[in-house]
Amino acid sequence: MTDAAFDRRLRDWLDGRDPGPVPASLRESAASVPLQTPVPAVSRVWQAIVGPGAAGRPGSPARLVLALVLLGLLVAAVATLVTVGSTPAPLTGWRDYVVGQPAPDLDFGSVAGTLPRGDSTISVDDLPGALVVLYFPGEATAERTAADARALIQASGHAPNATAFVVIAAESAPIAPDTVSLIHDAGMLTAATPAGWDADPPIGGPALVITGRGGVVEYVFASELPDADQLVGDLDRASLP
Amino acid sequence: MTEQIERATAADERGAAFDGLVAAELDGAYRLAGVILGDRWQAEDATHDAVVQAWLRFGSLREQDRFGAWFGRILVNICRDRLREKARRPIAVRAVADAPTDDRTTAVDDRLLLDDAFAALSPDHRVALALRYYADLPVEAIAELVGVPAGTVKSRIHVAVERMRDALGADEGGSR
Repeated sequence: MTDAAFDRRLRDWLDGRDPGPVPASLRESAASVPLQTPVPAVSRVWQAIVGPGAAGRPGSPARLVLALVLLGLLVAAVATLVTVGSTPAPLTGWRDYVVGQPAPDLDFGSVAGTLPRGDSTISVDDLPGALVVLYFPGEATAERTAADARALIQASGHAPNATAFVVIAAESAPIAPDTVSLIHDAGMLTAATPAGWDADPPIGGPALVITGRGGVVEYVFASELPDADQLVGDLDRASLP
Repeated sequence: MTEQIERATAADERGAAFDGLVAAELDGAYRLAGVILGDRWQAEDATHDAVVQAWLRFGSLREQDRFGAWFGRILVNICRDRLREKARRPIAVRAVADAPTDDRTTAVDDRLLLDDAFAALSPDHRVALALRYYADLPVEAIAELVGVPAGTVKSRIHVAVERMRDALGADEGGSR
């Protein structure tokens, strides 16, 4: 095959991989990014100091020096906090999980022997290096819980290695037995919320919390949970170092 | 109150400016991601991730007329990371099901051979090949986009092309 013929074949083949025009769903989700993605405060402050002005001009050297001084103060403040230490406030519900924050070392209790034999509690800290998906059915209906469980089971088949799925039921709203057996057959754990956790404020509808491999919360979903494909995509992203 | 309104207005203007810049790049970015990743869903995810990352760093972009190259660099890095991540774990790769094909110029067997050869390339080689032969970028532009010297890009393209050619050549030789 001549160089020109091969060149053409290669280009044709690459053109064949072109998925076509951008789908409307992506265009819509991209347009909503500035509205739905808050820029972290630290980043905003940094950009306000050293970033471009309205006309896109670079920041002045004086601004850069000021920024470095502020950065130094920030580092000193963090170092002081680390030295002194702090105790996280007790959790009262899944809403206390915040994206970007470490998942607190919270023990979920056993529900009627649903944890592996010998374990009475489980927490995110028991699963070092794992992606952890915490599903809280809350007070969802049995049908809704079963549908969510099916999505979780489907996603678990394609999830990155070392992904743990933990389904956490409230004592006041137990999961239907047939859904529990589905969950167990898929190799997921079922645990109970800590005592008094769902009393005030109430847990409410279903929620999903995904932590990354470092135990930091990456995603929190409430009511509208991702489907299996979206969940696998989120897990892929959470898996990235 | 006036200060808050001014701040909100500035944020709105910034968001609108970002929207306009992204809208102009989105189609090309999605298509390029599709070519590199070979999967429309992954392409959609990667492009969305690129938009989010670009938004979070938008304040650090000094020249808005360079947004295209800047956004392209973010996208290519995300695609490369995804390919590396995929290489570390076994997962079924969904082909682009209804991708346009032209049977007059590309036989099905050839496509499968090229698919396999492309999948066997390293992420860096795949990215270089797609940028050169699909996006039609010159070597210097690819070098700037992926952040390596032009010589490295040339070498990657050369190696990638030879391996793709070998894949077809070996089959043609074997079928004779």
